[in-house]
Amino acid sequence: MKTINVKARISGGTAPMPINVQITNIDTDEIVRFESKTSFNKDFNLDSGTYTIQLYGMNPIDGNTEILLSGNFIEGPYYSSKRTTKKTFISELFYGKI
Amino acid sequence: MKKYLIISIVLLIISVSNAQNKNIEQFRNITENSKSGNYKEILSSIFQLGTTNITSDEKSIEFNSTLLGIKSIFNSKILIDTNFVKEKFSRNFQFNAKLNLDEQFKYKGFTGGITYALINKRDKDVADFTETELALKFEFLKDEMTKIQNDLVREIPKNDINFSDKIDSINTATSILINKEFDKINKSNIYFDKIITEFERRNESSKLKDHIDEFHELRKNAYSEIEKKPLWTISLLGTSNDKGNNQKVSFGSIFLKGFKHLELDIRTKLIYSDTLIETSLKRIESKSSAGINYKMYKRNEQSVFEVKLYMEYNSVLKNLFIDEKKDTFLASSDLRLRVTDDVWIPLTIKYDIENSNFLGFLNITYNFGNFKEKDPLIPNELF
Repeated sequence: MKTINVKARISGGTAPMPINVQITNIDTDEIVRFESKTSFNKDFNLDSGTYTIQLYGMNPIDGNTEILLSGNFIEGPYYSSKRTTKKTFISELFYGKI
Repeated sequence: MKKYLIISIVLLIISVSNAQNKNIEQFRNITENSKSGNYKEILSSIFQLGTTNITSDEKSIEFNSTLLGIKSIFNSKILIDTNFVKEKFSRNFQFNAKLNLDEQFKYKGFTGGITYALINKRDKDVADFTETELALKFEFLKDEMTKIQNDLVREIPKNDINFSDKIDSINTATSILINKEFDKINKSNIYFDKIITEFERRNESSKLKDHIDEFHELRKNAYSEIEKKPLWTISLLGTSNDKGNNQKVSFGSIFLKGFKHLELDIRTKLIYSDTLIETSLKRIESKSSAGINYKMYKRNEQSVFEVKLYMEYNSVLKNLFIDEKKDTFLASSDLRLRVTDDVWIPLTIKYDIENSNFLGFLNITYNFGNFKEKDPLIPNELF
C-alpha cells in the first residue's frame, strides 16, 4: 500500500458546501471518496497504480482554498502539487502514479 | 493629550493600510460587493475609514474596525475557517473612533465607542448552502464532470510528452466552465468543446451552459436571501471636546430586516450631553427613526444606488434650551450613490414637517478594498 496526502485550507470564511475529494484508479475504475465541510489534512492508503485526484466544492464568498497534494508518487502529481483557488466553485484535477 | 490621540489614530490607520500580509489583503476584499450601504454604515466588515459632513461646519474623520480585523493584523491564521468560525464575538464586535474637526479642519474633539451585533444573520462569510437546491445541482454537475475528466485523461497516451500540459488544459477548461467564465473560453484549448460535447451527449435534454447558468442563479439568490435576514446592533459612544472633557454619551440600537429589495430600518438613540453655554447644562435627548431603504440599482450584484425614506422623532427629555421645542418630527430621505467599489456618497435631505424647512447633508464613506471592472447598471424591482 502507498499513501497520498491531501491538504485543503479554506480561508476568509467557511465553505458554503463541503469540499469533495474523489480519487479514481483510472486503470481499474476503483474510486475512493471523501468530503469535508472544513479544512482537512487527510491520508489515503492506496494500491500502486495511476490515479486522478479531483476536488470539487465552493469557496467562501471571495475567500480562497489552498490545496496541497503529497505522498509516494513515482510520477506527478500533474500539473502541479500545490494550488490556490479563489474561484467561486472549486474544481481541481490532479494526476499521478504511485 | 490630543496630539497623542491624533498620532495614535493616524498610526493605526497607516499600519492597517500598509499591512502586507496576503491573507489580510485578501480578507479586506471579502463580502463587500453586495452589502447595502445601509448595512456598511452600521457594521464594517473589517476596516472602514470615512469622512462625514464635509459640507457642514462640523466635519469628522471616522475609523471603524471589527475586533477580528484588529486580531488578524497580528495573527493571519485567524482567517482559516476552523479558527474563523470560533471568532463569532470578534466578527460582531466593532471599535469606532472619530476625530471631530471644525470648518478649518482643526481638531475639536474625539468620539470613541463600541458596536456589537446582538443578532447578525447577514454574515455571508459563514453561509451554509449544504441542504439547498444549489448543492443538489452542483452535486450532479460534479458527478458528471469527474466522469468526463477521467474519460479525457484516459484518452491521453501515457507516453505523451505533453501529459502535464494536457492535465492543465482539462483542469482549466473545467474550472472556467463551471465558474461561468464563458468569455475566457479559448478555442486553442480543445477540451472546452470536448467537455461540452460529452456533457450534452450524456444528458441529451440539457445544455451544459444552461445548467451552469441555473446553479449560478441559485447561488446569487441564496446570497440575496442572506442580505434580507435580520441585523440588530447596539452601540455605546462617548464624545469629548478638544480639552478632553466629557461632552456626550449615547446608547443606540439599530434593527434591519429585508423584504425583497426593501429593508426595514428602525433606529433609536438615547443621548446624555453636558453642554456648556454660560453654565453647565446636562441634557438628555432621545432620537428615533423608522423607515424603508430601497436598493434601487445594482451593478455586477453590487448595490450602487439606494434611497432611504424615514420618519424621525426627536425629543428633549431633560433641560430644554430657551425657545427650543421639546418634540420634533422630520420626514427624511437618504440618497446613497456608490461611485466605486469602496466609496459611497450619501446625501441626506430632511424636511421639518412643522416649520416646512429643508436641510441637507453630504457625506463620503470609504471602505478599504480593491477596485473592480464595471458592469451594466441593473434596476431592482420594487416587489
